[in-house]
Amino acid sequence: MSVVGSMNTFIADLHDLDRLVEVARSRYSVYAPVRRGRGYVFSKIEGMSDTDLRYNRTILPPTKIFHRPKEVLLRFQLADGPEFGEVVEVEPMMIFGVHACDLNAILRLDRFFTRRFEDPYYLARRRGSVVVALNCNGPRDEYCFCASLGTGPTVYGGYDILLTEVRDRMFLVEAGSEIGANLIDEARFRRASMSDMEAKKAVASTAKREFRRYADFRSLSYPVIEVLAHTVWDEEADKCFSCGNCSLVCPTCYCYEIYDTLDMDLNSGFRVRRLDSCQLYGYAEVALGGNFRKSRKARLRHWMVCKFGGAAGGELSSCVGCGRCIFYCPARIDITSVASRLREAV
Amino acid sequence: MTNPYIPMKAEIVSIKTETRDIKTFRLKPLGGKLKFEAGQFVEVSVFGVGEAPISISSDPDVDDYFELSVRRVGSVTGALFKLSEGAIIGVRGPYGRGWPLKESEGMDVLIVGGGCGAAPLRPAILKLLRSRDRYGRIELLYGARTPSDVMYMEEFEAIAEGSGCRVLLTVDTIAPDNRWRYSVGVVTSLFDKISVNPFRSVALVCGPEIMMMYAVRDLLRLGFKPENIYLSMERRMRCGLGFCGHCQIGRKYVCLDGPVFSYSEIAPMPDKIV
Amino acid sequence: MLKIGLFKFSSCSGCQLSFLRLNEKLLDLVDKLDIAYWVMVSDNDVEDSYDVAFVEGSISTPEDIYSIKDVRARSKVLIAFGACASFGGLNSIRNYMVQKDVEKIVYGSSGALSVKSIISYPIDFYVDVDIYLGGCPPSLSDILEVIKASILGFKPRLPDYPVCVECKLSENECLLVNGEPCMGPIIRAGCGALCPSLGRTCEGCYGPQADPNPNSLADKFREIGLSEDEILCRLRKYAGMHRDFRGIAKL
Ligand SMILES: Cc1cc2nc3c(=O)[nH]c(=O)nc-3n(C[C@H](O)[C@H](O)[C@H](O)COP(=O)(O)OP(=O)(O)OC[C@H]3O[C@@H](n4cnc5c(N)ncnc54)[C@H](O)[C@@H]3O)c2cc1C
Ligand code: SF4
Ligand code: SF4
Ligand code: SF4
Ligand code: SF4
Repeated sequence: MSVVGSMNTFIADLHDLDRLVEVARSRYSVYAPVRRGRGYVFSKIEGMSDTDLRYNRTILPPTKIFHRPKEVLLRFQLADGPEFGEVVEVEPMMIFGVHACDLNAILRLDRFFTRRFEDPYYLARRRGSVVVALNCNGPRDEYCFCASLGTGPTVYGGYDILLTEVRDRMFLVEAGSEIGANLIDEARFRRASMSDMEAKKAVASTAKREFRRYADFRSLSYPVIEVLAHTVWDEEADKCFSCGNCSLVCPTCYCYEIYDTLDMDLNSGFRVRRLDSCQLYGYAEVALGGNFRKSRKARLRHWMVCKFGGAAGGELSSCVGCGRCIFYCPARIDITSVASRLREAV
Repeated sequence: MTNPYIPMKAEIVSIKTETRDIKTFRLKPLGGKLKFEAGQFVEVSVFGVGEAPISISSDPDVDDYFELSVRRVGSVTGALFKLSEGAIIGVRGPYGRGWPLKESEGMDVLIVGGGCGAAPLRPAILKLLRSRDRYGRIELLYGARTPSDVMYMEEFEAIAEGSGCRVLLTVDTIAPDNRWRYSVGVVTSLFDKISVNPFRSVALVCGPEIMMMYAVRDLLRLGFKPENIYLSMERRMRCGLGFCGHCQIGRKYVCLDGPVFSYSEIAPMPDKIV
Repeated sequence: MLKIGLFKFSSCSGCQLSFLRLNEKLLDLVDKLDIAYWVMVSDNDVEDSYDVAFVEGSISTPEDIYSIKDVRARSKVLIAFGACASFGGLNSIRNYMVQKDVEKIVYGSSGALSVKSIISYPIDFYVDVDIYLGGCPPSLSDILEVIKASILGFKPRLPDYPVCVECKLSENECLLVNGEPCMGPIIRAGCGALCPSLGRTCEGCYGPQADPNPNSLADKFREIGLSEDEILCRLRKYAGMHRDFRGIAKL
């Protein structure tokens, strides 16, 4: 990705952005936050009227587009065989309106899925994709806490195009890659003025001051004994449902289950992977019913320590402060308040 | 980009019944060879049922076939047991970090196996005996529940016959009429009889985690250093590639960082028995 | 050939209807399946043995006790088919009332004096059960999974995780978080989060998930304003007899 000089800065209103989406749609499926009931989901849009750039957060994070909640890995056939072959579904995609926290999560998963082996399913979709990021002008609501983790509210890289709302529904548009620059070129935006660029700087500096929620996860890790032995886990585990909502909505949770399923002819079938969660009882269960995280407390602790960056995924599965797990936890378990309890002990 | 989730085909060329619930499958990889190190494992596919991680139990220096010694405990292992010679299954791998054989040269080696835990130890034993002169004393302790649960019996007896490796066998219980010529008692009860020098030995341990816990406790008491006690750990495992998450023990991935760990690496981690 | 029997105890026949709805899906398996006994569909006599028995309904009369033991003796694999057979189901609501009053409500003061009803128990109160298929009725995909696995001799893959998993993977906004009394966190999946996906709370027909926390859910229901009675009703509705719920459902 070559970084294009700051001269390539433009200004666009929603009509202009509509042109960008139209240009993009000739080459990509465009995914953006779309209202669904009381929440938002990333889904395909046809124009700017389908999306709402003032969204707070989507239910599932945009990482779902690359690391699908459920997908087929391979197809097989048993008779005269077995015979089998891979199934990789790819379409060129633009992900439009990605917040800093979610973009950072995508960048972490990029590294995670190329760590020792390469995950061809994730990478096939990711490598053909274009990201249009969107700076936040402050926390989207009381659940956001990216500022204290350095994962937002401002985006500093990893995008093809970056949008900043500098005035009411007026967006400063910057290219972060050749592909982004070409798309902007085709959409024929006006060049930004000096004052537009100044406005962006002002947005960035005020945005991070407005956060009410803080977190410091440093050194809350395995195998720190003060963390492992803390009584907060017992208290929170009494409330926890082991429902998995927290990890299923987390943009840096990648864990999955793999299983085979047979068609009705009992001859052909698929190998499937489906998002899993370490909060679920079955996650660490082995043959004959053995389970290394039988207690809810052990599962809750593992989940949170993983999000602190202290489990086996390291910083690549650590929290980016999107606030989803706090909002979607039916038991009101709050990673930021648990962390501050633990902080007192370490 | 090659797809690491796609197995290679392998043909079952022979099947040996080890015990009432353990069989050794000799497999010929079709379209390629499988080069592996002692202690590594493969993901075995029985299509339609699923995959299971299984240690390679054969000689790492033989590469036109490899063997898997499998205990029947559930879906995939159950389906494997229904297959006969000539059947084709899928395998991918090898994966993981094996036993530290190179690093242990010049030292005594104590091998401690329990039940099906002999499977990943067998390639290590074969390899150690092949370069016998590079090691000090070598001793093998193996325990099973009853005499009919002892796997690799003839091989262990043959090794005991030859020079170079002392073999001590034990079973937890025997029937009154049983002609068992070796010890009775849990495997750790053999520790009284060992002659390796704990201060310059490595211990290679594999078995049920509860057995490994007792083994580690006694080895430490005997003077083995925590960093010289190696354990092969078992967890639920799906991908074998460091992604799916199931095999984590604290900060460690069993599939990438293990399955063989030194006790000092694994000791501080939570959610385990050892 | 897999020889199947479908048996009915105290129930509404809804589970059998679901089986019927499999219809053309079962066509692929005609040469592998022999439905040897199914009162609802044919009048075959009971045979000596079945590979798999699907048992619908709870046990609620003295005769039932005798019959379920008989079915067990004839079957290699016995499946508790649906919520009534698995946990007592809707029938078990009456266990929380005085039996005489219940009989009066159902049969009137004069009627059906010959009917003797006892506490409505899931079938595993009397016999061993190999597979539990919760749901009122069970989903077609769960039934198919059990049939396929039985033919091949595998263990069926049935979820033991909660409804929330299917709900979140369908990207539904959470009802419970928004103050509606959804049972999803403590109830086993399998339905594909049918009710929450339609904007309605989970009523619990699949019974408890692998490690449910009903006490915490009761607290949550109190927090969103449910009365103690309403909470009890929800916990008793389908699976109040299950060991995971009976403490808090106050049997
Ligand atoms: C590194 C490593 C090396 C190993 N080496 C050996 C070896 O050499 N020999 C050996 O015998 N074993 C070995 N094992 C253990 C072996 O992998 C397990 O015994 C095996 O995976 C069991 O698989 P199964 O499908 O037969 O058992 P199952 O019990 O059927 O499945 C295993 C797990 O999958 C889940 N599962 C299975 N079916 C379902 C379902 N229908 N629904 C939901 N969940 C389900 C279960 O919860 C269970 O925890 C090794 C394990 C590891 C990690
Ligand atoms: S841990 Fe919670 S706040 Fe952090 S990234 Fe995951 S869902 Fe968002
Ligand atoms: S182990 Fe980590 S990445 Fe996996 S589900 Fe748990 S918290 Fe998420
Ligand atoms: S922390 Fe909350 S969302 Fe996560 S499993 Fe527990 S109750 Fe569910
Ligand atoms: S709506 Fe119900 S099932 Fe869905 S996530 Fe919320 S509590 Fe769980």
